[in-house]
Amino acid sequence: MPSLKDIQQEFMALLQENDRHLEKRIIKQGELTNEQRAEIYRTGYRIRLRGVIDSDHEMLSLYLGDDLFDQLVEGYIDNAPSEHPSLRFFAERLPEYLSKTEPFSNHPILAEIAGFERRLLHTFDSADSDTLDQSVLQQIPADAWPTLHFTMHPSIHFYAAYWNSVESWQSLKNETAPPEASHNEQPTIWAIWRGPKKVTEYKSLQGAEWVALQLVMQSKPFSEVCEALQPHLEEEQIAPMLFGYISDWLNNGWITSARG
Amino acid sequence: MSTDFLGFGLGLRTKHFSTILSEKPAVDWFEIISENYMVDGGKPRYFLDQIRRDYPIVMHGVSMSIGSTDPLNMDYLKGLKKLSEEVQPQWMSDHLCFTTVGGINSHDLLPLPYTQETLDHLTQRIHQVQEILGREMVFENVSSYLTYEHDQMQEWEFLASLATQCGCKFLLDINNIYVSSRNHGFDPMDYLHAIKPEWVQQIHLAGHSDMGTHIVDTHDHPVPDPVWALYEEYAKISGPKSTMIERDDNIPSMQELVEELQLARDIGDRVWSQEKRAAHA
Repeated sequence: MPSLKDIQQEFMALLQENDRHLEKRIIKQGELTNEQRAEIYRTGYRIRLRGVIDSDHEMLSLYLGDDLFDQLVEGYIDNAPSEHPSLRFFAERLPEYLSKTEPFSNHPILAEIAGFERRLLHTFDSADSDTLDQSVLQQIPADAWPTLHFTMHPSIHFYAAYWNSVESWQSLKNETAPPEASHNEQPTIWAIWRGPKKVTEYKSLQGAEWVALQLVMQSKPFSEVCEALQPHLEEEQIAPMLFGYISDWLNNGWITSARG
Repeated sequence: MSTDFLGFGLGLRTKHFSTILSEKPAVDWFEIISENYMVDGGKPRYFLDQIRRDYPIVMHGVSMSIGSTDPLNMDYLKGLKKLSEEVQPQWMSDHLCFTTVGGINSHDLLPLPYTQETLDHLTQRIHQVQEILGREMVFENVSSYLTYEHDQMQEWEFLASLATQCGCKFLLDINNIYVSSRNHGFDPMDYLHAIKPEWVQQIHLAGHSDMGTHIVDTHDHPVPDPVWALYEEYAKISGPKSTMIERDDNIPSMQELVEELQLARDIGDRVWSQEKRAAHA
């Protein structure tokens, strides 16, 4: 008699490798053959996993077209089996798979589109936190600003795109043809966050704002952030510009605390 | 674990979040898929926190893999325990099956052989899990498409032995019994007569897809007549049991589901006397 462990290994071999050993363990009953009974499980396994990639990577699917997307899904299911109890993590390694597997690796924009879609998903269920509003700007005494530290919302993620991947994603989302793939030496930095209405939002960041944000995320005080902006802005522009950024961040629901 | 009769519930699905909050539909309780809420935050957790203020919640998992010969996934159990402490469910359930092999997750509820080895394995694992979670677990019978040649007993005999040996309670899925009865050619009443009411914490009702040669447990149709008939038969045996409809695909409006749930209420009204209801309340 096969052990419980034997049966479970044979079952997984059926699902993953189409190894038909399990069929010999099944009682012959009714109109279905043992092959058909095993096939119900194998087909269900692949449909279920495919459904996850379809749902998580809708724009990548449109970018690739049906045939290449089918090839991607089949290859990924065979090569990157799920190791997490939740299906939401099944396609976590898809960007890496795309960047290492031909023919997809010949088009690096594909891994970037997939990576952007994963960031959107990470943002969707990141931790919550209460956020501050504009009124906080009036409440901070002038002498407290130099030592002020901001804490940012845990849902904020950043994504460095060297290709016009996010622009392509946007085009497909708007049901228009994506632009031809193009590469930039300097990446575009995208901020992705969950807004006050729990909807995922994103925007590109300009140089000075990105410099300021990185320091704020590292809990650097306001005075240090101002200093870091000196190479990017005229002296007299720094304070109003930074004030404008902070105002935008408050509107976006990015700031959860401001402490001296 | 609460043994109260909670009444008639539905699976909590994202499509209905706003409707539930704005219209407070006539549903006695909701069941959540635990894994969908084992996240740090975001929309599902926000809505769950709101909805649980108005409705009792039951947690139903799909990834415990209680029958697997893999070691228990301690990270998963830690996450499940954390969620249960936050949600404070009436009870928690998962499935009598295995989902993982060698660390790989099938994301399917794969059937166990009905042998003494499996019984012993489950008994030991269920006790271990209950100790880790600090609470009793309820386990659901799964639908299946194959029977192992080396099975030593029928599925219902297996459940009866498990209840006796382990003391665990069941989430009896009437649709799964019907699906398996058609796929394996047994009489579903043999199954239902073997399951003592005191072993049953909750009942699931659902729809399926009839492929002619077999039935697939798809949860994408209304509860069909044969499942309602079996539910009524078991309700006569069991007395009031917390009952819910599971719908996972082709999900209709909340109003349609509430109307469908009324059919279960009607059966309860027909077969459960006031005295019986009072006895179970």
